[in-house]
Amino acid sequence: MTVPALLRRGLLAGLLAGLFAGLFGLAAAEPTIGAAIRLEGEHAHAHTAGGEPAEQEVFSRGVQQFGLVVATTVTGGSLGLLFGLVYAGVYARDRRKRPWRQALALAAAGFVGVFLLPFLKYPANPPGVGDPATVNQRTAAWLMAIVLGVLGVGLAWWARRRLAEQGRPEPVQHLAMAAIVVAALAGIWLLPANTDPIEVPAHLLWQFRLLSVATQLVLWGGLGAVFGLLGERALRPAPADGAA
Amino acid sequence: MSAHVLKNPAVLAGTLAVLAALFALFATLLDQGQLLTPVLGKAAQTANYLHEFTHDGRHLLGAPCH
Repeated sequence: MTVPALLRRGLLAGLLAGLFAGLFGLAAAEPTIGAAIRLEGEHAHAHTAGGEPAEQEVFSRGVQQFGLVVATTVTGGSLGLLFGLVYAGVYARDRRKRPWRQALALAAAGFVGVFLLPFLKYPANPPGVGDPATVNQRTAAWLMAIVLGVLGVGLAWWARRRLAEQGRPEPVQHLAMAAIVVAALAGIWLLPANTDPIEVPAHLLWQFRLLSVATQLVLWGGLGAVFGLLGERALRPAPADGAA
Repeated sequence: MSAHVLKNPAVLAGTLAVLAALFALFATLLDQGQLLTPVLGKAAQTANYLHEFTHDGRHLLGAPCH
């Protein structure tokens, strides 16, 4: 399987998965986002009564809801390209396992490394939370958490493979993976805390964060599933070893 | 050296894919007006079009927002 072919497969899988995630977000999360924005508006109004006018909107809510689907689709496509490339590096030579399994395993690793580990330190916040003055600093910390998360999952993956090659038993392989992921999480924990005040109601915050996790599950699950199906389909016409 | 390596179609495709992906991720999740500033000037910073357009997506995907 050539690298450009895997990249095309990744792009297609990512765009579709991103579209699924966007439609899920539109159906499931938009009511919560809308509620948070209404609260934000009331809050801003109460604070600026008689003072400067409330922040004017560049785009209507409808356009921003469409933008949600565009954003998840573009994000999915981009992640899909990177996914295809990593898949090429990790698996293209390993023909013993089925693409379905390989794609799902890599998607699970991506979900944990790119999203879940950083999320544990910097969980998603609904609109209305976040001080504009700290956005650059928060962005840098978040990116650093992603780097550590990806590094941790990548190292765990590599260590498991090495230990398997050395013939170590599975419990050793898996406990080594767990230790490396926990070490990465400890590193993420040492990053500076997000000190922005959270003034939205707890139930809304909780609901939004759950929906954020669910959206990422749809994104990564869809990416792995579509990529895996495309891989299985590619295997069908020619037997595994006959393919380029 | 790098020019020679880039003649390999796999390396070239991989490099282009990474650049395209990082650019698109920056535009959808991180941009605060930087990308449109060369075209729109100061208006891009104040209106923050890309940020506002992808606003809901950024929040939901967990990217830091204002």
